Amino acid sequence: MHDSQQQTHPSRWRGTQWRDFVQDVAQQGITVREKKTETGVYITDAGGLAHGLPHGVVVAESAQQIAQLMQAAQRFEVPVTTRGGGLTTEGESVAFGGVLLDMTGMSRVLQVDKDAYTVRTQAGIFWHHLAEVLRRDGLDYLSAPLNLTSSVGGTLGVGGIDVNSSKYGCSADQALSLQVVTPTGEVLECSDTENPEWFERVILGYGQFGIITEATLRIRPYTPLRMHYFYYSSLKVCVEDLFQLDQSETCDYTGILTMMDTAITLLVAFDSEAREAAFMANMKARLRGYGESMFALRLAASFAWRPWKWREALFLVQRKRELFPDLQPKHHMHGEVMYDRTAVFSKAVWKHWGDRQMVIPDLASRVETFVEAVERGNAVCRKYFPYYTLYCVGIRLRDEHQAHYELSSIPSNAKGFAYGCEFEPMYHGQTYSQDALQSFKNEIYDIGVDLETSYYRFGGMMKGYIRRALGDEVVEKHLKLKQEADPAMILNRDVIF
Amino acid sequence: MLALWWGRTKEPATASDCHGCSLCLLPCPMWQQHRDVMFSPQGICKSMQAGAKAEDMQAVLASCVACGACDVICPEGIDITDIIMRERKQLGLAEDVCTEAQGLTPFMMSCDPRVQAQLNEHDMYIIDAAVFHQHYEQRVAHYTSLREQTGCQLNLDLNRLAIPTGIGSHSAEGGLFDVKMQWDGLMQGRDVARMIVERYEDKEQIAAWTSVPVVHISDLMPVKTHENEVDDATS
Repeated sequence: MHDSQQQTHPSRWRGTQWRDFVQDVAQQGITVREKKTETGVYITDAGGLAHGLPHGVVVAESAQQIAQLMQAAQRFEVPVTTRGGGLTTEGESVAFGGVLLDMTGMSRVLQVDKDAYTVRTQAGIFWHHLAEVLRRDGLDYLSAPLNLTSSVGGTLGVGGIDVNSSKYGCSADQALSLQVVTPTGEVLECSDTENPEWFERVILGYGQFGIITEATLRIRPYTPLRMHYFYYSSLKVCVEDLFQLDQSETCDYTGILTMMDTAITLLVAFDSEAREAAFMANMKARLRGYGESMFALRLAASFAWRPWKWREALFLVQRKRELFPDLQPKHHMHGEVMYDRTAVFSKAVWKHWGDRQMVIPDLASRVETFVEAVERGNAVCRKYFPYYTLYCVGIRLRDEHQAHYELSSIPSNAKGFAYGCEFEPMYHGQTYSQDALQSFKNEIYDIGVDLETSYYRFGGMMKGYIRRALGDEVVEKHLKLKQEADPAMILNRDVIF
Repeated sequence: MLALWWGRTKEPATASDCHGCSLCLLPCPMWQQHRDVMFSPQGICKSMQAGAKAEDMQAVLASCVACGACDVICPEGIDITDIIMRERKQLGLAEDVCTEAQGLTPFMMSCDPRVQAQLNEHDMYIIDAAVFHQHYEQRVAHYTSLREQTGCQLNLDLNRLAIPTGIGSHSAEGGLFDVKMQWDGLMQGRDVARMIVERYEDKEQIAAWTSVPVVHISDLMPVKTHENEVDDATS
């Protein structure tokens, strides 16, 4: 492995002027928790590989409180790390010293406009709680990460993909306006028309240019889901069918979920019976996937003469037995229609894919290079792990948001659609060293550099790839903007720069 | 060997098994009132991992209403309520013990077709959260079906976990849990003409807050003229 590819934790901030800082903010009525039993709650993120302790924790209460905190942090040069759901995997929401600002303290819905189909919410709210409030009025958000303990603010900062991102775009594209606390402690409102330069930088800005405290999002009427699965034994064929579906606009939800490259599932779903019927009549026959029974027969036949693969076959059978009931729980199904898909998927994701240590390297690519990215990434997974999952979705891009996508998970060379693939090992009781997991991630991201893709798990321990993947010019441009916005370079340091 | 591999079991999960997914925050009424992760099952488990003892978490432990939703949603299968009650015991705090009444329980009454026939979409049916979560696998399908068949509204969230009222809990009695705030949140955006409750404590308190009739589920049971008559109906 080349030395420059080895990723590490950032160094711990030494704590210079910490006591003066704490005294200063305490005089302004801001409580800083410093006991280890309190700071230790935030010791790692969902990845479980980066560990760091803040000097103190502040629970967000208001934009004004955060503005005061940031002003003091600039004066005393104290790093501030923001955290919502803590669902990063590369330590981006872990504080290596300084202040950890827990944004979940600001997590209430402020106003639902049923006529304009918008919601104003505090940004520390989990998508699940937003859905709970919207559902009382028969409404729903457009698209959000499958993992519902992601916070709105954190998601708008990095992208957010869902199985309907091919229809609505990434979650960040749902934001109409934001209230932001800048790194120097100003509170401002920004949108495409008001302070647009801030809106451009904060959306998909990886927390570098401001702390999102409130957001106005587009919403829609709630609809239950009509879901169908098609099974493939070829990644290439399945991905090509996914492209075909997204281009056709005949489905409301599409995505690929695999068990290794052996059982590849194309998920197709609809918001209405009419859309489902139209798909069945006009589109279904064009897909090259099989139904469950036929695929099971073909799979059994392919395993029958390969006894060295029987262990994998057993794994697949066991996985199906455990996973499938949780993907269609009776109390969320009305016949063939699923209610509250996000609750179903979110629980299933944690139960069946969650682990104490998670690495989920990903590649985000334009259409033309996506099949190659998936196939090469799959080969890397095969090399490292007996069991793993790939998860692929399309993301509809908005031409007018091209500036938002610069230095982000959305590849700058993508037009119309971008496609993302996550590569997630399933440990199945086996322990892997951090070096092994790191090497795996490096090999995936090396493919990205080669194919000029971007990636979603962008910063933290993997920030070394940013320059390699996106080039010096764009990074230098954003670094200059960052230095102007955050003179002491204290907000979410070591995440990108 | 194959059978062992197929049906392998895990050790019972403990606080050390929490890896911070935050799913337990979603239904936690304590967290919803405080908006502070320290006041959540995850906060308790993570604090314990960082060396916290019961005395370090006194306010948090005393604030739990013991609804048991976290036990159901935890993907690691940690029995969080049990942990909280054990820690409470160490502090000499009262434990909330969830026991279902003997004999004809509210759940059994809700299964009675004659009771179900009286429910409609204008009713709000308040499930006893702690009992429901204790028997979650068996009962979630029943209540979901009850809602589908009668149209009545239920205190279930999107995860199909029951939103507790907190009324009668030790934390509410100690002033550490605001039951009125909890009630306002539960009723936000709902338009109902009648409340049906499974707990007598709920009936008394809710009646003081609302102008609509509040009835206990047993009030919907046909007049009991003979012991066997009711039993026959619910069997």
